[in-house]
Amino acid sequence: MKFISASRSASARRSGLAELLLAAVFLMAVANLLALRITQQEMQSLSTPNQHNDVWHMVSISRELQRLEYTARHLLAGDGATQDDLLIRLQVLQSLLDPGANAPRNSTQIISGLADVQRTLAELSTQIDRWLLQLDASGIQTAQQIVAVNEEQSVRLSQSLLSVHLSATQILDRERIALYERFTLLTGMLVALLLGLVLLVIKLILDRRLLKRLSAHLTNLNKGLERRVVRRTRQLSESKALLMFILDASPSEVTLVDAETGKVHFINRRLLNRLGQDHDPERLMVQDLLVDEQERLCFMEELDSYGRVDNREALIVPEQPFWCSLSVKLVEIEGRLSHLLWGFDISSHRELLAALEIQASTDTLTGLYNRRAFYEQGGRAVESCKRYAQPCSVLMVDIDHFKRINDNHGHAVGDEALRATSAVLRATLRDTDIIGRLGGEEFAVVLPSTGISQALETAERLRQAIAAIRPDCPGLALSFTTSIGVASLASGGGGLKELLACADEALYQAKANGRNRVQS
Amino acid sequence: MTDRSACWSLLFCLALLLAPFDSPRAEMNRPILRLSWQTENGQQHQRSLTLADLQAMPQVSLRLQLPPALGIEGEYDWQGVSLRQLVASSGYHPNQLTLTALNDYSVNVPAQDLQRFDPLLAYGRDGQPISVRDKGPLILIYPFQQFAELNQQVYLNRTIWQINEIHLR
Repeated sequence: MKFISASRSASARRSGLAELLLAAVFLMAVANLLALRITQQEMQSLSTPNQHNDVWHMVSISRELQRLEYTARHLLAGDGATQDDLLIRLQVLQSLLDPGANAPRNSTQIISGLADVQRTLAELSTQIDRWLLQLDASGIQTAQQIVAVNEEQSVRLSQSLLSVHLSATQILDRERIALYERFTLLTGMLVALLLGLVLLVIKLILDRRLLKRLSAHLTNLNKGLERRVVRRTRQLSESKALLMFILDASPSEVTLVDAETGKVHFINRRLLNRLGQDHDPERLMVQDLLVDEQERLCFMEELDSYGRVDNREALIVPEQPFWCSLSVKLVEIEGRLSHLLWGFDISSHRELLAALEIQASTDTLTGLYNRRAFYEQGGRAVESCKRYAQPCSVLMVDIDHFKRINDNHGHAVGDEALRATSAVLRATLRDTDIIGRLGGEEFAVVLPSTGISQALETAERLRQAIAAIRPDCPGLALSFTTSIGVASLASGGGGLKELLACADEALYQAKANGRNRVQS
Repeated sequence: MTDRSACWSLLFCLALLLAPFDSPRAEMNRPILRLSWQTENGQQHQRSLTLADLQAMPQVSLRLQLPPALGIEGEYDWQGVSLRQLVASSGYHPNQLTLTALNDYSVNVPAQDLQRFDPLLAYGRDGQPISVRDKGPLILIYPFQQFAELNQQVYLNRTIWQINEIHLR
């Protein structure tokens, strides 16, 4: 927390510095533009030579005036100088004072600012013009005039020369000062630029250091991340392998297939073995696993409707069918619908159940239906006959004096008698007839689709067959008889219970009438 | 020597016939330029040239605007002779020329200038001779607009007017 706040304040400081630098750079740019502008102005004014020729101009005029006087004196003295020479001198002097409009001339900006000097020069120019006009008429007279006024003009020109010189030096100094100020300004700007540059360089160096540190940190982070990725990948692959091991080792059939194409994403070893294959099949559809056509339709309908089917018992793998508790769930794998199937082999359960069912409905001694199973099966048969308006009859069979057999010969012989009787019942009656031992020596039979007369016949046949029984008992010649009560389904009348009650009534009659007989 | 003078007279007559300037003949015949040089054996040579003499030579025209420091605004046509040709006509190969003006202003022009810039010795402006008052009769004009390096004071100083003497050294 302390570290975070410290780094936060450092970053705030850094951003403040960056803004300051930005402002400095902006100011530098403005200063640079200003400096550029000043430099350009100077360049413009320095692009062409523009010397002050005023002093030289004044000196030239002075000298020319002296030569004019010199020439005039020579003319007057008559030693070599001609009137033509005087004309040339006058013209040259005038070309200095008042050149033609389009003639080249000395630049005389300073003089144009000095009214006194200008007046002096203008007067001299006027004087020269006069002499030029006068020259043709009388050269000597002109020369005399020139000599006469020369001294005065020389003095005035000297004064003018002095004032031009002073003015020129002042102007030059003003220009110097202006230049000095400009260069001072430029120097200030350059120093500011240099300062800005130094700041920028410092900032760059700092940034570079920071960048290096960050880059090193990032590299470390990356390395750590890579290590973690490798570790995680290893862990993942390990846990995947573990999961595969668990799935392969689990006592269930597991597969994950694409719902439409049947592409197998996963299938465990156990299901592969069931399918009798060595490696993953390319295509496997859940519905193809189910053996029964009807079951297949129901199963898929439920799966499509609810997205899942839970613990449905079905016979699967048509090649090697076995009972299985199937759970299938619709899941999304890689954006496609897939079926996740878990199967649990319940064939042993089924076998056990069947055995139990048989055990629960069978009389252990005789192998016939016990009382409960008889009532169940018999009731169903009676109801079926009633529904289809078929006749139905019931026999109650009771071994006569069975207690005596038990008492005289022991229970083993009694049991043998019971077994033999049941064997006769089975052998004599049809497969559709339902035979049960209700208890003790009492048997009951439901004869579906059998009317009273046919039932009586059957009962008579039974009575005779039982009477003919000679149980296989060593050293013993045993025979016994049975009494049989017969009852038949009255039109519209009750169920199995009522029938059995009627048959029991008839049996009682048979017993009362002396036993070993059939009574209805 | 006779051949040369005959040649010059012929040129002179031609120039008279073709002369564009209606100046009085006396003006034309007055020497305006003295060309002088000294050969290696110490012999002094001197030639006086009139305006007609110069006009008889191949005319060169130059239209330009002179630098502002010379005080002339606008473009003018300058007529004259090539100083190089004039010097060549002397048969002497100088290293340097000294040009002197009527007002005793004088400048030294290196011979390299003639080779490099071929300056014009102008005797006319817009077809008119240049009077002394207009800084005539002869003005040396460099082709300022053809060469940027001429834009400095040394060439302004060499732009001499009122030339009346050229000495070859």
